[in-house]
Amino acid sequence: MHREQQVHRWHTYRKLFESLVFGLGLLFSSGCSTEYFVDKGHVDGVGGISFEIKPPYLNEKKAFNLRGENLSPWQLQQISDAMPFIAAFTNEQLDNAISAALLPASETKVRNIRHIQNLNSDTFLAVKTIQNWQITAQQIQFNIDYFYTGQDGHFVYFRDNYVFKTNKQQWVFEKHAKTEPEGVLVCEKTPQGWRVCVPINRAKEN
Amino acid sequence: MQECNIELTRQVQGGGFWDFLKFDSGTTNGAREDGNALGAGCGTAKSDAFVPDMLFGIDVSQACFQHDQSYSTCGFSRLTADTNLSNNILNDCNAQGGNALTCNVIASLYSVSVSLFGASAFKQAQAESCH
Repeated sequence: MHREQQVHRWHTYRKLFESLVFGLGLLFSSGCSTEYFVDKGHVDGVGGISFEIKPPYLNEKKAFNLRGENLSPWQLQQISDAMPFIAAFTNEQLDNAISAALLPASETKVRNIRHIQNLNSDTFLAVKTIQNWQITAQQIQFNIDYFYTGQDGHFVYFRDNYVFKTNKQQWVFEKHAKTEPEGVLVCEKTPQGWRVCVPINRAKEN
Repeated sequence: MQECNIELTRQVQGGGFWDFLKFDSGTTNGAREDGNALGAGCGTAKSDAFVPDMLFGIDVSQACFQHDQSYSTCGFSRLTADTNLSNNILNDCNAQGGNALTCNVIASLYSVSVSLFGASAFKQAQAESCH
């Protein structure tokens, strides 16, 4: 009985080892590593609507929160149409590099996050998520949550609000939804371990 | 025969220890739980389901996402992006209550991973952003 158990355990270990070698071999083979480590984008289907999560502005498009807000197919279609414009706009707000963003001209001045937060050009500003969608036939309202590494080395999260309007089949920044940005966010860990961020004012209310 | 499930194992082994070994890719049924698109965290759209966004109970998704965005910024140095990833994980892990050993293990693991596998991703991201 003891001998049988030993043989069984030996077979299990051998299978595990073979799987590991096979897996690593597959991972390091050029075709597979390119497939899994290089993101060339994909088409995401949400509520029956297609979203082209592809370059340019791949990461800004990935930040679109489309699943957590119970959006109707019509609303999702509006966001899908506006996605390239909102992604380009978001990239321009980050202002991390000189990029030729193909943005339609907007006459309204956009609040500059770097000025508000006193960030120099060396501070890398990133987008966390684009969410809180409010959609009508003519306009899309949403929040962008930005983040950067603060002077103490910890991440600082900042939220601002935006309204886009459709103009000649393009979506352009129209105005800010509120006179002030929501500002710095306070983040807490959920029991599952994930970070959830809310504006400081709302955190104080709670 | 006694049926053994995770909850029973927790009771026997102690929940605290197993919580320490908390791994999570942040995806369920092929979609990210935070509502963002696949790849908005650690890993790409194809590898998101098996690259952990949470390791030992520490959420490293923001450090990863910032790293991705650094790679996608035209002219950004890969060395700086990789160094920032390591520093951000260390600091963010510390802010989430991780101890020094845990934070250094996680930071080292991701640093080694991007050193080994990041070259092609950096090349591709730079080519796209500098179009």
